[in-house]
Amino acid sequence: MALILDLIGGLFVGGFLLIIALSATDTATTEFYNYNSDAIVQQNLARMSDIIQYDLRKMGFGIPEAQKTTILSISQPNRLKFLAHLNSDPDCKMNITGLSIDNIVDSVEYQVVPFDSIDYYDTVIVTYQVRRRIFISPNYTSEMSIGIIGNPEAFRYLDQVGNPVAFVSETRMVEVTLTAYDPRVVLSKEWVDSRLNEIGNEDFRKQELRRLLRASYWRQTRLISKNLKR
Amino acid sequence: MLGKGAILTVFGFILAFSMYQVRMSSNVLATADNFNSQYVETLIHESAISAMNFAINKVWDQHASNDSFYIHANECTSRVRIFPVGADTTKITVRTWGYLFDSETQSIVKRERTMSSFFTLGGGTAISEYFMFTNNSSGLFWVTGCTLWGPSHDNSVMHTLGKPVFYGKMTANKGISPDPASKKNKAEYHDGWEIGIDMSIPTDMTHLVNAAIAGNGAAAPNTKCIYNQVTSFEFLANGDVIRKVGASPPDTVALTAIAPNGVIYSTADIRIKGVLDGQVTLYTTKDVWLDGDIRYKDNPMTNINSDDILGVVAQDDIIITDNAVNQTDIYVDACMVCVEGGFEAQNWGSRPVGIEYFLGSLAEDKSGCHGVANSSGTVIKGFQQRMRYDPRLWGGDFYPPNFVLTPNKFRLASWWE
Repeated sequence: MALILDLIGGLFVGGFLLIIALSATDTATTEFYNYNSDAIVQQNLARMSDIIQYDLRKMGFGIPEAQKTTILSISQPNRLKFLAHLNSDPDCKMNITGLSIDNIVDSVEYQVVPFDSIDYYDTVIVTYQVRRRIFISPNYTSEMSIGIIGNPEAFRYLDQVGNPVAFVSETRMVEVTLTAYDPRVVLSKEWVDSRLNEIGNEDFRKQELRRLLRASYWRQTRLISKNLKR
Repeated sequence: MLGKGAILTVFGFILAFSMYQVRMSSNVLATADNFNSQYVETLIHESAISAMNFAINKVWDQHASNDSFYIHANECTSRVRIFPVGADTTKITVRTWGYLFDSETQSIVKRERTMSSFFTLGGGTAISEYFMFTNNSSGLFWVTGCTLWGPSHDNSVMHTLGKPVFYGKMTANKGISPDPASKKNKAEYHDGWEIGIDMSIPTDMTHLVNAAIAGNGAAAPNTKCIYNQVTSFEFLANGDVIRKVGASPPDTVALTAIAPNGVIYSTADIRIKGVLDGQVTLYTTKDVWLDGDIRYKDNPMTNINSDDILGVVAQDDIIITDNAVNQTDIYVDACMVCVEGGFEAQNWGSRPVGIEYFLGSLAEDKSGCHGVANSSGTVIKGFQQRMRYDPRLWGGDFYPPNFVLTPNKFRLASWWE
């Protein structure tokens, strides 16, 4: 009898511990996943920013003084195109294999275009792709996506004291803003739905949705090309 | 049995949670590493810029053209090289490196950045590149309604009131008032502004005199390029000039015949008017009088390829004559320089109201007066000024023959990061 009681007691305690353990493991896995996603997103945003920074610092390189006003050929919030001489000198050329040296001006273009849209209860979120296009004479062309962001307008054009410009020619620096959603929001519609399904009150649901969909990561860099500010 | 099982279970949990803790920590560390990596990258970049600034200072102050040295700052090392590239260009290269612990490879990795810049000692650009160039603008305010279409320079303090518009870069030596970085300054600077640029109108006109002497050859004074009596030139649209020297009767000559090098030099006053077909620079050590409209035959505002260009350089003043033809308006197409004087209207305080249409560029030692305005800005005596920049002058590639050049200066040509 005592043995049976021991076994029952053991099973009860063991089962209880097992439930706690499973619950703890589930929470731990979720947390681990979140931290991991956070780290990846943070790293990706930083890399994306590095690439843009690398390119924008070359804006106007090798463009003669008299043609300075033509350096920024497109300056829209979602599109930026500029001229730079990217293969003028062995010390001053893009790190691309097989690139020859010449005296012809090249161009770099960035464009933010819609990438995907996800339909939620009360709204739709759109993610955007940052596309980078490089043309280096005589015949090197490269077009690629450098990442996915949450904001449709990434570029702001500022004068030398940091005020938004009214005219392109005033531009002395470019402010780049990159935001990203919480990866769970983008990767798992079910996860968001599961948090909203149980909420009956519409206002509270919208509030919760707003909280979930807020931009989780944000990076802003003001870049000055010395070639624009000779 | 149950006791052993419980102990094993507890150890099992400890093991599992320990592993989880390690993985969580590694994730947190990855985030911190990411931050550290960015921090080190920024540090290296800032160090490279500091090294570059150090090198630029050496080039500027000590005129270093060939040098090499190391700078240690921010836990980073920079190797700087200064060397000439061609006759008038100096190149500076900076290679900066720092170290970072990489948790993935568990090793110290080297991070490096290179930077290059090119500085050219420009042979000076034609002063006509500047729409307005003033040595001393005391009492002059750029106000609402003023539009400067080209680059401008003020070697004193430039004053603005209201919302003037500067399409070209505005530079000033002793400052801009109010401070353009403050909200008090409402002016629009479309191509930016810069202060601390010390550049005044050159006073040495030897090159103009030499060009006139060379063009004059053995001809007697007052017959070709060199004059010592008051001379009037009325330019004709066919390329000829009606010339009147002193009290002599006027004669008609081809512009190319009296200015083969494009320069006419006088030690007396020069009076001009007419329609210019060709290119010439007039230089006098006295005053230049505008006796009537002086216009280009081919208007550059409608034909950017027009090759008509007039340079007027007066050691003293350039004056709009108070005569019958200049009463209501005057058109002036020219690149003008007043080395020690200003551009002004004769009897500006008493002459009737008229309009002055100016097309070109103006450099003057001090601002001359053209009229009188009341407190609301309405001109009540003299000229209202309508000044336009000749678009051909932008960039300094097109200018009157042998025109005045700004002093040589180092310019940043390009910067590579």
